[in-house]
Amino acid sequence: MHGWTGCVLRVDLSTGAIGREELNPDWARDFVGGRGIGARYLWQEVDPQVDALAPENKLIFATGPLTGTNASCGSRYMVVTKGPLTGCITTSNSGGHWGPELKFAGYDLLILEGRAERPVYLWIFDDVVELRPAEHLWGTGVFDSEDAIRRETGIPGTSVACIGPAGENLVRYAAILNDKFRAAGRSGVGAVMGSKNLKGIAVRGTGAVSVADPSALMAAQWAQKQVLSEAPLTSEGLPAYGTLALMNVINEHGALPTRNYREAQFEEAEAISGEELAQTRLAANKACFACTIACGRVSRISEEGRARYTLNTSPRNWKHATEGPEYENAWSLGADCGVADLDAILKANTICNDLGLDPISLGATIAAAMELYEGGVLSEEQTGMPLPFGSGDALVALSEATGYRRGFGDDLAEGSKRMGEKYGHPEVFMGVKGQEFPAYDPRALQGMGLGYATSNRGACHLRAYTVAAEVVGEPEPMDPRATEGKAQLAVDMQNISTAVDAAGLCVFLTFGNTLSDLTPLVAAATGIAYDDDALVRAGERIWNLERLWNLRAGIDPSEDKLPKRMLEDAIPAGPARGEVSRLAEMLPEYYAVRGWSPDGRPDAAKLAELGLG
Amino acid sequence: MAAVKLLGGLRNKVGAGRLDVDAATVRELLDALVARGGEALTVLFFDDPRATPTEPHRDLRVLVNGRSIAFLHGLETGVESKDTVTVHLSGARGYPGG
Ligand code: SF4
Repeated sequence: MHGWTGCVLRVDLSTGAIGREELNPDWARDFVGGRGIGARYLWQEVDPQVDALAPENKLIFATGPLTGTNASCGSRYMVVTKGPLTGCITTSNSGGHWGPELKFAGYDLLILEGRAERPVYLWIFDDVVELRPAEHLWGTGVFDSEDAIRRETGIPGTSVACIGPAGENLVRYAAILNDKFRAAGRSGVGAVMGSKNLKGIAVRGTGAVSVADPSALMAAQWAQKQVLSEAPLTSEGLPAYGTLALMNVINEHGALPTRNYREAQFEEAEAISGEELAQTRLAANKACFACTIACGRVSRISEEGRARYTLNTSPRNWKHATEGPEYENAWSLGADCGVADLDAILKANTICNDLGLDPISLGATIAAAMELYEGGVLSEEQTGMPLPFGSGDALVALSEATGYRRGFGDDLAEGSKRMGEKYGHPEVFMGVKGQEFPAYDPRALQGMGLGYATSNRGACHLRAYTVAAEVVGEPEPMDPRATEGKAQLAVDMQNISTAVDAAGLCVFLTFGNTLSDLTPLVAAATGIAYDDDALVRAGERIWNLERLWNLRAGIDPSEDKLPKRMLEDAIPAGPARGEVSRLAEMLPEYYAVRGWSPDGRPDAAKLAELGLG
Repeated sequence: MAAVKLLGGLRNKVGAGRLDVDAATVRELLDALVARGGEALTVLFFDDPRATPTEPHRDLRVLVNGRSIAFLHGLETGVESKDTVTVHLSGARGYPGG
């Protein structure tokens, strides 16, 4: 095989058995890789009704055919499993260098099953694969764990993916971090890893990715990079401001959710914006493997902030530097909690990286708790501290408490849906299928509401980023307040972004590249004559398979919904004042465009058409 | 005077983040920014800087009170003294987000 290594590494943590098997070539062709092939294996091997934290759930790390090639942004691996936050299939990806190293070591997929009796980490060095004791690392943060594991392997260039205390403590939105700051962040993949007593996976490969047509790949990646270097956003905007450039833009549109989605404009957005970070705290930008965009932020806490917050980055507190925040994190830890203190956000974001937490769900859950506190439902005695909107100190303290499940952090560790239900106020949960919303108000941007409601992993901005048309104006401007055309837009974006995920690419490259720039890369790497239609069809196939998995898991289509606040409580002020989500206008059309039954189920004809029958 | 907010890299190019501009339309407002920031801005603001512009540059985004001029009257969108006008560069290509 080309593009793919053709090899799956399987580790049974219960028995310690380590085996290699051939990658199913038909599945590789039809599901491409990454999110697609991971979903196909999960479908084959895991009962969707399984308890996400039981040994019977499996944890799949899947690369794509372009992972580890010289295609720009070919850095991705996807973690596929059943998510403990949602009960849905979850597919959570990360960049950095870990995915390419797994390919260089000779593996497309790593399937982890069972549960180790005692904490272990996995060491992969080409053909040498071994489980090593990790009791001495249990309870240790990501930064120190990574350093320790790397030291123990003794091999320079080793990349480590690991969990922090949050994963060990089964926080429902625990993340897996690699290269210290790159995260497979959402839906609790880190808790699944923790449930298996697996602290980390260190990998170093000395091989290379064999490609079918090296000359064609060279030509295609050159053309792809030319486009990225000419598009102003991927050549200037993202390197200069990162995704945080969106803070002021979304706020100006009146679509920046504020104080747990009770408002849609944050009066202090400028203080936590990309412009502010660049001017006062940015040390450098940073790229994942083979990326020519380099949207990553290396930031320093301000001098004034150092008196209040110390960063435990490693080497210990190195020049007060950390990485991030990205837009989503700065929003959830910032505007959603009413916090305008960028140093507190940097500190809380760094805690998320070190303890292994998803900052989106953490910030949103703290915001929901702040609403309960201000409404008199939660007392200071219960929360352990005053918890008004805007308190950076509470944000920082509760970030840490959540990772360790200490005090009120134990409630926050369950996510805002369960936390709200526990205190008799389920209405404070702002999300879909148990997962908290990201940073775009679906009342102001109608397409995002549809994207959130229909995402297969619970609320997510990356599955149907209709912001592109509704705010950015690409591929063509669409009125954010209108519902017309949004069903087709959401379906197209879902299918294409799924194909990008499956290829092993970072979806941010689509701010410059079209699918037509990417198809020749996949074809040259694999030797299979994919065209645009074939990749879109693969994306559709994967999307439908994920949907089927969720249906079998008991996630009813009636869960394609938004909270009452989004449907009934109009935005109180700002440019989108008076707007509510008109999901009901879009959902039936969405099902029709998908070729599903009116109640949202893929029928036999659709499944046969996609080869899923 | 309309309150103008500039975002991102445009701040350096114009030399300000916020300013008040006296203009009756978005076109006049952009002309005022060119007068302040220099002729080079015309290349960023208008599709064809040599001709009388009818469209803003494809990478330019202008909001009047949070509403894109793409859904108002383009460059001819009226501006009043109580208005807030946001101007920034986008520069995306491709098929963003998939
Ligand atoms: S665009 Fe950003 S997140 Fe994507 S591969 Fe490049 S540096 Fe990583």
